[in-house]
Amino acid sequence: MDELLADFLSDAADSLETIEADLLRLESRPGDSGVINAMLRQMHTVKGACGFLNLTRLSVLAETAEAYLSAARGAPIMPPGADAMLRCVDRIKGVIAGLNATGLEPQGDDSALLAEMIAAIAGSTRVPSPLDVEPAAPASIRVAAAALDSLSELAADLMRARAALLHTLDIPGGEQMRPPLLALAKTAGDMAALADHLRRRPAREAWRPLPRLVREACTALGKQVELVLEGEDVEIDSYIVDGMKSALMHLARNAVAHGVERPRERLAVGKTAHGTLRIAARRESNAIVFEVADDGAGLDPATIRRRGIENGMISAAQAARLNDRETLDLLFSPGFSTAPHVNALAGRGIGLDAVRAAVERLGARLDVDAPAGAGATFRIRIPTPAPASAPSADPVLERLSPQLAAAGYEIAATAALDDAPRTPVLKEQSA
Amino acid sequence: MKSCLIVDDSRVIRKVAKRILENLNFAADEAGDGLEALTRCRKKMPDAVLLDWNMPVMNGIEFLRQLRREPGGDHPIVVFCTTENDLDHISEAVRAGANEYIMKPFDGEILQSKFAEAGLIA
Repeated sequence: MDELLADFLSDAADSLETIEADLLRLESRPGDSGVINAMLRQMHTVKGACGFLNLTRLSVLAETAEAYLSAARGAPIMPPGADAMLRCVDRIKGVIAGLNATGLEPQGDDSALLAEMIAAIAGSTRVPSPLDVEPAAPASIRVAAAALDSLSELAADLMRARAALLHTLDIPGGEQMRPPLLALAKTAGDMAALADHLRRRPAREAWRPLPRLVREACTALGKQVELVLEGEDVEIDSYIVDGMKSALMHLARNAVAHGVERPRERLAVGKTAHGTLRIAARRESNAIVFEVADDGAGLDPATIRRRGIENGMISAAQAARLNDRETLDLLFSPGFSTAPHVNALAGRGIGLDAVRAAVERLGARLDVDAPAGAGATFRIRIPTPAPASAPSADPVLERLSPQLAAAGYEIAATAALDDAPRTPVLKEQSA
Repeated sequence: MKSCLIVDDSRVIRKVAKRILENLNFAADEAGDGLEALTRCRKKMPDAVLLDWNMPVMNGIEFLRQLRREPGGDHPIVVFCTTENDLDHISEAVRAGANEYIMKPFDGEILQSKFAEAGLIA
């Protein structure tokens, strides 16, 4: 017999045995997606191999069985035709037995059985179970921050517990604890990752007040500014959102008040009457970066040096030694203001020094770039842990399942959290 | 000689693909699920991956997403295998970083032309 066929027959016999056992389990747990998905995969594999081996009779039977299982997924009761499905499995086994004996698909008429199954599939009204339904719209509820903190702590406790349980493997007979321990280890990791995910909020929450603020500032100052927001779905840690909100408000207000020129001044230098204020969030490999960029007159180092001398912040000799970057840094010193006129919107009260201090309290860094005449870009860089591409070793998982650990196990939940930043999971935490 | 990793939970399909690929002058390696494939890729990135969709432990799409985040994970040309019933999976696979897709069952001729389209063979 052909080696491929022999392989197929032995694999298919195993698959069918599993499917048969699962079908019986399903009677007591109708609609169980986990069981059905496992059966579906097995049947799919059998069918896929049939295609390569030109086993047409088997291929049709397997495909119909697959269709039946798809229809049964999520159904609250076994759809009618469950025994047709069992007979179909029997039929497949019969064909496999024939193949084993002769190397050829035995002849036979499956049309009555197939018709019965197709009728069952068509008649089964599929009632989706909660497990089966994908959330259509992002439904959300409010949760107290303290509750999220507790969730994180509970997850951390679980992570420690799974490490503490490892020694049970060394107790005589402890080997049988491996599967439940592995399940615990993975679930704890998923939970830690989920807690982590829940603590993050989209960047747009940090700039929600800005459209209105910019519009009002424009009206008050006789300016025209188009506000462009980018990266509103970038996720940032919850605790940072409020701090970012006030920093962005301040920078946006500054940009309208001091950055963007009045329409007449802009037209005179060949710009459009309206300026652009771009506020962007993006994720870099090891940081979240916010930018507040205007296309105004920019920041003139000579003016800043002069203002620094006038304010008594630096001496003329010191001013002469400052390069442009160091000069721009003066903007963040207490009591500095470049605006020729103090107005209601900016130039008094908190200045950039306070913004930088507030940003630094959040563990972030505020800088400015201002190429001559080309506007100014304020940049807030919030460091984040290294990305998941190099998961660190997880001794617990290593011990429980070297294979899983070698592949850098990542949360099963990632499928559901698909666009969330990946956090290496199960990597901590014996400390 | 270029290398290709065959990822499929069916040993039969892996063998068929291996024969075809060796005829096309590829060094062919096999993995039975996404996790095993990822482990192999971390040891050595192949030039090509022939990837099944539906597998236990880690399915094809999860593997693909992980692969593309690995250092050097953008190197392999990934040819995604699907059946006529899974057509909606194709666009998902392409979004996840697949270069080409191929319908099962395939034969030597089909695989050769797909690999040629993907620039793996002249």
